[in-house]
Amino acid sequence: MSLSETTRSVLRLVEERSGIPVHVEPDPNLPGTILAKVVMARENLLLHRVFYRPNSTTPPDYLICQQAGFILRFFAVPADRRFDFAASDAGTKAVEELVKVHPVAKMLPPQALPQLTTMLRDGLLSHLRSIPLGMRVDRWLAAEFPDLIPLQKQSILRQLEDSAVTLAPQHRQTAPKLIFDATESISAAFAAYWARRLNQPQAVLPFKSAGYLHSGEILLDIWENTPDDAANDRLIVDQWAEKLGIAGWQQWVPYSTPR
Amino acid sequence: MASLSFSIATSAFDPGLVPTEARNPGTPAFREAVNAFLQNEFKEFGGTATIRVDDRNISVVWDPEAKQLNPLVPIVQKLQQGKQAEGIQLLELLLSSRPDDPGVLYNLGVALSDVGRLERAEICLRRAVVMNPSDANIRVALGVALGRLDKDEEAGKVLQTAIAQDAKNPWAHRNLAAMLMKAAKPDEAISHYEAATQIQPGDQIAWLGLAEACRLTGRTKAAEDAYRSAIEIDPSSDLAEKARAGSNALAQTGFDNVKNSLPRQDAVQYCLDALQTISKMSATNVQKLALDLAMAGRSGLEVHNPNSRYRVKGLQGEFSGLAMVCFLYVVMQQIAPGADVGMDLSQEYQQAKQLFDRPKS
Repeated sequence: MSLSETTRSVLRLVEERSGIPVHVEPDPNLPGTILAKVVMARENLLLHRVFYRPNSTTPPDYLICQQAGFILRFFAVPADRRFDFAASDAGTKAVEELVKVHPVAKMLPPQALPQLTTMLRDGLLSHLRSIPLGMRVDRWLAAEFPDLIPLQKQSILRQLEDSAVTLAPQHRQTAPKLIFDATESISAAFAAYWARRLNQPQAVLPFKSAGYLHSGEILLDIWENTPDDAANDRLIVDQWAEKLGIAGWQQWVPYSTPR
Repeated sequence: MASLSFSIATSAFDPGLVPTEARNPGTPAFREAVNAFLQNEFKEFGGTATIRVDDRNISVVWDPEAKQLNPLVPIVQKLQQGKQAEGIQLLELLLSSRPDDPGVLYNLGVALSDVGRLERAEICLRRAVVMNPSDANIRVALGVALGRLDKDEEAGKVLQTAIAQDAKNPWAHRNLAAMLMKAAKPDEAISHYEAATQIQPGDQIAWLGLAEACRLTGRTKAAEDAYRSAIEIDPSSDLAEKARAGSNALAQTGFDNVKNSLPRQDAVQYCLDALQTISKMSATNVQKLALDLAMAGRSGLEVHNPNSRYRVKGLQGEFSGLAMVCFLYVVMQQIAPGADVGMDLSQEYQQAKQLFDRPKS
């Protein structure tokens, strides 16, 4: 794999700022629609691992740089203010209750319900964190590394397409309303942001039609009115959770520095 | 812009985006309102949006690269294929996003007029006239709708205006002529029918109208010519059948006038000739001759024109229009006594039969 000079620069930046080496590797088995992910160094893991889904037609540089951007943001705050994002017990319980009374529970064997609960919980919480912080990272990448913009645009357009698909009736039927509404409101915020930035006004239409654009705009207002400082990242996520009626489903766990 | 594709349940659609009276999923009003909303949203984006709204789902596919086709074209094709209900529904949908489009208003008005929804047709066509006052075709359609609503006086004025705008508009002439016929003014109708047939010689309706107007005003020869023209345009059409009926009625009328209740001796002679001819033919050949005569007569026979000449398979020589009708009458009496060939030649036939049956001296 040959990475662009820009990508090498970003990775060097990560290593300088975090003091930890970065290992990049392809992973064709990334679940679902995930194109890339990062596992940050912690405790006994002494390097940051960036995984990306290999694609023969598109170079992975933007995907790698975006994950690197998450690391940079994380290490941009003092060590004692670094927190991992995780599901809370209250969140798990709330999702369990929602799943239990949802019609889909009657269609599944009892032993499959915990798995469904975990999947729904993690899917929503991952969305809750990755979208607002990802938009921060993307804005920074576009400003600092404009040669990434074409790949960024390509990736964002693909994400917009994928998020519109999630509105389909079959997805709506298999998720409890609160979880579905929260997920789509977050996606609507993402669509509204990129619709303006990329001049793709049609991107919001699926969410407008399904009644999520207003809630998405509210989330976007919070995002835009919160200063772009990594120290505020937890605040944005918590405020979004509150607006979405899922406050307390998440928790911030002190980060365990690699030893 | 990037393409877009999504699908949502109708129950998931934000009802606040459509009018209050159209918020009940599963109703036609809801479907139309959702469609109109989405069409309107895509209007500014260009490209082509394919929107499908049914009782359960709303599906949208938008292609920014596809050329914007004139949506009227496939709708008008549907109307031409006789899919009036579907065409009208689509035009109503299109109208909701293009309320001032004279093309949509005109086509919708015409379609509504044709299916008898005349009040709505009148509204659409009046609006179309306002939006495009220079289009004579729109006035013609309005004139037709007004005529169907029995607003004859205004219909006539509207059609006159259309002709003033476009003197070579065949539809304006033809429909004004029809209005004049309706007003029992066939004399005045003739010039407009003539104009229509000159501008558009293939207009079967205009030829038939001209024939009727001529017949009613005693212009027998002109009427016969016009009937024949109407038949020749499409001999197997319903209009051709009407023309044949008119031609036969004309022939009968003229024949009655001439014979003045006495048998016409030329017809008697033709009938006698026919009896003598078929007496030498087998029954099968008589049947074939009947068919050939009937076929020859499908384009009309000029019974009043002694100079008219016809040939028919199975008979030698040429025959006048009256001779052909006499032959047909006689042959039909052999095959199916009492059969109607469009002219009553019973007296002439009886006289000829007596002459034929008289013992030869």
